Amino acid sequence: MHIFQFIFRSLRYYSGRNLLVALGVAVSTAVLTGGLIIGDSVRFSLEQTAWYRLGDVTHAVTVTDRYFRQELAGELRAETGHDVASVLMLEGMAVAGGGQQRVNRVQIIGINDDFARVTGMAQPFDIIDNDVVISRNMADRLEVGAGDALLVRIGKASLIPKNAPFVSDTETTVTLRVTVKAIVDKTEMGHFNLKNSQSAPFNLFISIDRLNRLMEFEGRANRLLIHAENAGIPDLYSALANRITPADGSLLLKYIPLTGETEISSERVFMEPAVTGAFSKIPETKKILTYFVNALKTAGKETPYSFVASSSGFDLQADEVILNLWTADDLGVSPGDTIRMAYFEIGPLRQLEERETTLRVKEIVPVEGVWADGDLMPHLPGLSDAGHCREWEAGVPIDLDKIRQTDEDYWDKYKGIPKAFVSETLGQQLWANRFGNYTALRIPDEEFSEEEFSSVFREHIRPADIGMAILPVKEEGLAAARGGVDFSQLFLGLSFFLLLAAILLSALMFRFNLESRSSQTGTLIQLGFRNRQIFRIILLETVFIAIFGIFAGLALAVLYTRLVFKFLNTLWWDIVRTEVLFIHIDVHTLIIGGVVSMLVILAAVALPLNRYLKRRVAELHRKDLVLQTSGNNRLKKIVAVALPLLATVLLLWQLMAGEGRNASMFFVAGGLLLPGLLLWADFWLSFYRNPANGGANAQGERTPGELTTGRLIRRNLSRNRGRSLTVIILFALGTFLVVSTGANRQDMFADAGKKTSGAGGFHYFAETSVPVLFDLNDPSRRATEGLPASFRSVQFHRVDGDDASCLNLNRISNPAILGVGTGQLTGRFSFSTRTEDLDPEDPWSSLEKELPGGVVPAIADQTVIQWGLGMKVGDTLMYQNETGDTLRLKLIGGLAPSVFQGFVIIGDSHFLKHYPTHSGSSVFLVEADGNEEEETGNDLQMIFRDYGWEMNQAPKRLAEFYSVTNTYLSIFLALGALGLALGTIGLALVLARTIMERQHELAVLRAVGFRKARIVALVAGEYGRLLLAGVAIGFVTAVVATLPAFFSENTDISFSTIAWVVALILVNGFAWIHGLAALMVRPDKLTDALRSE
Amino acid sequence: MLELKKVSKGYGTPGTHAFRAVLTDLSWQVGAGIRTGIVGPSGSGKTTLLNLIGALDRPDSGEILFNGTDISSFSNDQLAIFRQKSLGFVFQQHHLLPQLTLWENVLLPLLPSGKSVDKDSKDWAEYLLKKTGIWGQRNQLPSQMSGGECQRTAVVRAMVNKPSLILADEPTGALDEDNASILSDLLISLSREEGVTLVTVTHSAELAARMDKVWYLNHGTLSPFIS
Repeated sequence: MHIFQFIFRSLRYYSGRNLLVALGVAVSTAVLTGGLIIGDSVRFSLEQTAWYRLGDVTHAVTVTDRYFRQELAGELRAETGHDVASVLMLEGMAVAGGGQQRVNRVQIIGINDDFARVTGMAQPFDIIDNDVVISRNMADRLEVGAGDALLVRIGKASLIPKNAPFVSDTETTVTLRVTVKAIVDKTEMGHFNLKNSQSAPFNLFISIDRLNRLMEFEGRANRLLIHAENAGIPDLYSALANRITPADGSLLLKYIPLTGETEISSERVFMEPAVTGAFSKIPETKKILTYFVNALKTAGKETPYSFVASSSGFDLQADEVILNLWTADDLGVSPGDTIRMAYFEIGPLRQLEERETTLRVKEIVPVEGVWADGDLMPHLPGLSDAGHCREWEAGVPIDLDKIRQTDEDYWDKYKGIPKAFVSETLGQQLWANRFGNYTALRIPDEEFSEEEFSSVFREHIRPADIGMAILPVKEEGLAAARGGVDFSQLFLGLSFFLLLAAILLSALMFRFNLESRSSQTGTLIQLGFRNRQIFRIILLETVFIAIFGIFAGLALAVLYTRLVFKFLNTLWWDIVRTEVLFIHIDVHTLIIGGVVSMLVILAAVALPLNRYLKRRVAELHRKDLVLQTSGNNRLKKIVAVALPLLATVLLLWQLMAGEGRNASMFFVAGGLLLPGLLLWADFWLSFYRNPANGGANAQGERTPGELTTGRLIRRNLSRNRGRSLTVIILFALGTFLVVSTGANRQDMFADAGKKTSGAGGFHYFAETSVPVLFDLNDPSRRATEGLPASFRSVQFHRVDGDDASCLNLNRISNPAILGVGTGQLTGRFSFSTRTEDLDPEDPWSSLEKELPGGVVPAIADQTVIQWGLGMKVGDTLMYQNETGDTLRLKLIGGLAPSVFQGFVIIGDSHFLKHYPTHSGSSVFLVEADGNEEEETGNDLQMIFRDYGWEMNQAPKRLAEFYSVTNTYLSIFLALGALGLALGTIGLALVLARTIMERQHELAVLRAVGFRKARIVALVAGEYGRLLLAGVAIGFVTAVVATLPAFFSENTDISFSTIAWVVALILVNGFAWIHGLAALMVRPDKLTDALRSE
Repeated sequence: MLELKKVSKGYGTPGTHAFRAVLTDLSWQVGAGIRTGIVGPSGSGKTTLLNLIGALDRPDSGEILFNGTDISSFSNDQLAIFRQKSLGFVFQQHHLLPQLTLWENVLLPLLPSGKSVDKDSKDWAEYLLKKTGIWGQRNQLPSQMSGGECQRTAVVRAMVNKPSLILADEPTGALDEDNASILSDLLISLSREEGVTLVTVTHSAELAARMDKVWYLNHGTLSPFIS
């Protein structure tokens, strides 16, 4: 016989008991390795998502509301040697089934064959005319297949910023009927997305030429996709700077024969300061700003709607005006007279404010020669090309009643020739706006060639000046995937208590094995086996048991990960429209999980084994051998006092900290209190070991005391202190986990109507695919659009960015920015963290502050700050603004869970300063009057359906986000329940074993007259006390750990639910105790035991 | 062969009320090949004495000489080797390992050497089993055998290493009269045939009567027993 043979015989013979040890090992391995696999898989899934989003694309050149030449792709390819593709990306919506199925926020992607090359696709889509290729999720949502027709509505792109003055907003979308040529999955770029998001976008690919024609563009694009592995941003930027032309900045050059000048103008109407600054350096350049004014007035007379030009070429003071003869006659004025000029100042959402200025007529000029220069009027579609005044679409209200026949005649004869001329100073003072400060530059050189034009442009204009940014999208995507929340840590941290419970259960089972086989050990010692040899034999046996448990645990770990992912994927499917998480099993992780589990279990058994082998043989041969833990040493006493003391100090400190309290400190306090109280439980059990303790005579002297049932119970508890303590620990851990996770569940519908809730008291949160250019609260606009009067809305400007909500597990750095007029949010929402920059009285007003160094104050959800960005309040986010400068956003406050999850919010004034040409708003909060919530919602849905209006009840949106958090909590709650199940198993095994061991003792009790019920009550009394002690310790420490949740407005702690959970734990425990005791305490068996005694 | 010189042993912390002296300055000798019986009332220290002789416990003071060597000064490892090579134990309970067959239980004492069991040892084990009449049951587990058979197996296990001293603690205590008689015969005959010294602690007058010499242990002192 060999030693291994002996071991295998033992393993087989004691397979039942070994199986219980293996079960504990399997559970601990599953929890440990499962946590690691989840971490690996989340990282892998995020990386995969980045690949699916981008294919081979490594960099992207982006612009906002601007369009450059498609040819730039070829030029950049020639310059760098890398694959480059031009793409025209717009937003839209699609309808199928006669309007039955609708998808909003569709990415309309205009591509050519270069797209396939740059993304690494095997075959180009090969789409022409009205053929489109759509993503699988979109096809599923619309219930269409290849060959089916769709109605697509695309936000009308315009070379002119949509909210620029005098731009018509009547044509906001373009509609076309398309045929689905193919449906593509994620592996075929179906998930193409430049934004860092896990949500799968709805994608519709169309020919870029067709899309250009639809937008009335010629060869335009707004994205360059680059495949350039290992290329640096500076190299690509410099190559781009070498290749951009004035056309990429929407600049035009034309010769003006009338004046012999060359004019530089912009397709965007207003030219940005960077551009005008660059060309103003050419000597004698005249700067022109022509504006459409409402009226030129004098006493009793008025000339409505006229173009007025300001120029550095006019020799005028700021309060002087030159009128043409026609206007002077119309107004009846002569040089020296004063007139008033009325004009609109146009707000961010086309809010109009009419202003007036008084001017002195310096000169009257004939409508001829340089004074009849129609080119001074910028090209404003809908206005400058109108046949009659009554056809004007000026983007501002035109009072047709004011237009006279004489005005029509002027328009008919002179079109938009300015009727008045003012100084450059006055023009700048009155009409320079966020879109630009001039409408044209005139160079007095008819020889100024295209080449010079281009060279001056290249010399002075950086790509960033015309809004171009190069983003290392692949690198950022992969970095965000790798830098995301470490799910291994999260799951291991939160399942730590379960891990501990499983290890404890394994160790308990192992100890039972040792105890039951102690006689064997005694025999081996007698037979000459050395302690070392026995230690090795038992440890080897444990290794084999552990190996079995570990393999089972690894299988369980994969199953556990599958269940967790299935749970998350199912829950998230509707929200992110794709499967987010894929299982990725790395052999190294399995090995690490297995080895660590083995080491943990060996460490857990080595200590009691070592102590066990120090026993005398006679002791080992005793049937009632119990392996006791060590006694109450000094260190244990110090720790037992120090831990609760430290926990109390921490708790008091945090309670006194008021708003500044830190939730994690409460968890630390609870975490310290738990082992502290368990040590006290140990002392409690030890106390009754001494017969003199717990009894006193009438004189108060300590005596062994009278024997009562209670005293008998306490003495019994202390007899097997280690086992009793294990039962307490198992229940304490399980209860702690269940109560603490239960207390943290978020109920976003709780108090949703309150202004301080996460919904801010708003009923709806809406987003549009096409920006709404006007103010929804403007009564006149409500009248023209047919909007109900039963609501108020807060409108937000939005600059797209990465998805920073908890639906995106990546670590992101540039979340979407919202700009808002902060006065509208006063008194709404709640803040969970703040810096000194946040005004405690009116936090939202702090967004208008000017911080030192041009830093802009910003607010975001605390969860976004902490988890999405990996930052804290006081940190700064870096962006590139529209003019290429760095925009620094300082996070001055963190919101309690709110509908703003995913966004960073700044004040409107800062927003428009940094994104001056941004037009319209696409994010809305709506508050309906009284009981008209549903009706208002329906009206808005109907009226804005062509904008791709996607509206959610604000609390529902909040609940959707926090469903993710609640999912995690559900998982941890399930783990807690598993911990309790382990506790119950532990309790049942300890109880069953104790009853078996004490058959003789119980038989004696019966022999001396105890009835069965009394014996059962005695046993139940012992274990009931252990159960109560464990549950009480777990409950108290869990409440301490989660106190902030009790203070939170958004956490709907249901005390009754917690009470039910605790009651359930107790009922379950007591049911097992009574059931087992009643089952095992059988009079006939007891009589047998007595007989054998 | 075996000599105890002024051996004392007690339990608990010396100098406290909890201390209980079991053996005090006990001196005693057993010659080679002699079959010795020890009788005495319960709690007199018989098992303690046997554990000291069997190197399962250490004396508080005094010497235990085995063939002139003081085993009380041995390290734990030396004691284990001593037990393996020189001693055989038989107890009131057979303490057979339930997971091993009768044959494996018998060979178990050969394992601590770390060497594989040689043919001579196997032949010797076979001889002993045949002699005790349980060779036919060699592949059975203890649970499939009677108490008497198990106890006989325990005797064979004690003999398998060819020890020079067998220590038996109430070897017939758990057996009925017939089986007790069979086991007594076996112990006596084997020890006689193999020249093994036998020290038996017993309450059985019958077994004690078959010993060469019987000692009476009371209050920690040994005196010749006169029936």
